[in-house]
Amino acid sequence: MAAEEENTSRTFLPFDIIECILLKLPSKSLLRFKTVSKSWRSTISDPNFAKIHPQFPNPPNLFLLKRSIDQGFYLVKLHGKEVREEAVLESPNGWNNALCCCNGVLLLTSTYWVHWWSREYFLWNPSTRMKTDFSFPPDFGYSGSINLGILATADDFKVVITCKEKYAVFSCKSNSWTEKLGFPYHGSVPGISVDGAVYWVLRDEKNTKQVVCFDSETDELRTLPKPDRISDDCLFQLACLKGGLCFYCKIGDGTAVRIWIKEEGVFENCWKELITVEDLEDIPIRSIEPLCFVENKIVLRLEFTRFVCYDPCDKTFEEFEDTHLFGIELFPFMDTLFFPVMKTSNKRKRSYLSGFW
Amino acid sequence: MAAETGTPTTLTLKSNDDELFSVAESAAILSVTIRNMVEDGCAGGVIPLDNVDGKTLASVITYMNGISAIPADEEKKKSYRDKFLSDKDFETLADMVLAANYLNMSCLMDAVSAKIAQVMEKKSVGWVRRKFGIENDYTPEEEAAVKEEHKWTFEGVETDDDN
Repeated sequence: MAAEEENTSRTFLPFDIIECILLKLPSKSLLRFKTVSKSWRSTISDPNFAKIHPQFPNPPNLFLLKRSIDQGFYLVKLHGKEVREEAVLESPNGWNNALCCCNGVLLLTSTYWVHWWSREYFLWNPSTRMKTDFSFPPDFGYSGSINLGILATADDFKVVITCKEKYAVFSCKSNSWTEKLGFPYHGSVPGISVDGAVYWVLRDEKNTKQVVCFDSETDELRTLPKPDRISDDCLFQLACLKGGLCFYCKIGDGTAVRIWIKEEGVFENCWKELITVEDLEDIPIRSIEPLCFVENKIVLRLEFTRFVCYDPCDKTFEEFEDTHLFGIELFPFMDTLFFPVMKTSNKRKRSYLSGFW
Repeated sequence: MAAETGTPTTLTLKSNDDELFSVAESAAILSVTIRNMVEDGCAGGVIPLDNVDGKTLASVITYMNGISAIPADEEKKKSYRDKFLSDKDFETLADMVLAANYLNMSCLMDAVSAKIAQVMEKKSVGWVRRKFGIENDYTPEEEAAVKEEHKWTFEGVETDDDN
């Protein structure tokens, strides 16, 4: 019956329009629609298609929240007034110690601590369930505090690890590690990946807190200037907001927090004032984390367990509860087909990644 | 043009099944294709739109009038687009995306393709093949193998509503 109707007058859509539509679908549907035909499969499997897929609007304000130890994640959505559980995501081996994330891909390991080099790691995309094992160089000489970052550039995916006075960079494209000398910072914090770079808040030789940036173009580190009139002793934090890097610190008497956002691709005079949250409780800046915007309101997490939604127009707060109080860290979730080593089969992928060192 | 004469200019558009429609030039030039014709001075008489049928053109003109009546407020425009597309079935949406593409109306093109994606998100592979007129060129063995690769994506698929 349906076939008869279709044969009468229907004109079907040309493939370039179909491609526009496919780019707007979530990963799960796209992976299912590889079964439609060979040409759909080859389009959806094309790494260039995967690269532009995440640029389209994602379901906003979704985060991964740890379940109990090595039991995978909850996918939660932050609304203006609640944290709603959308799904339970099973991770490889149930691991949920996410060390860093970039473009929807997480570097994952077990919660139980063993040495860096003897530990197992996965790069994992929760929206496609793609995973590949990863390992760190055994003879890197791990000492002092360690920082990690993963980042995606136009044509490569890199993992960077820093250690006392040196750092190493793994490039998926060249399939190798490069060790570099010179890491004049100390401290250990999660790296924030934004537009092809990783940022950390670390202390320099003079013990001043700095915004340290790993620039993937050059594989070099640099210190980013802070916003104007921010003193050396200012305690500040970094976060990812609106898809960009943001810098935030207390101003005035300690009850206001100002947030700046970094202009993409610029390293000098790069901070633009975004929002000031006033009349906040006087709690340490490290206990405050801006998470996302819901319309024009900003959602902040306070002391890990409480969420407030701040309206900058009438300067009011609405407080709501985290229903999964044990979940300390929230990782932004991005629905994307993107994955660093997409085209190799499972078997080859394993030897590809573990044979490099 | 409107600015020269002081009165709003009206254009006449002709569909491929010879229906005629009057539309304010200010609304019609949301279509880059029509705007180019106006700028080239081809809009004196009737503008023939050979790739759009009357039913679809009527709908596109409703949209042109509706959206151009809304002042520059992206939120309001978005909610108008959502409401405009909410009750359209797949075939109507497919006609509209073709028309939006031909008329070079990027905002409508974006909205309609997003709506089509939303409609097909939870549909079966069979539904997609029928609606898009795509022939299954896999052998049964190949198809089973591709399906096996991403078995979990077949969970939660809606029952087909087209037969």
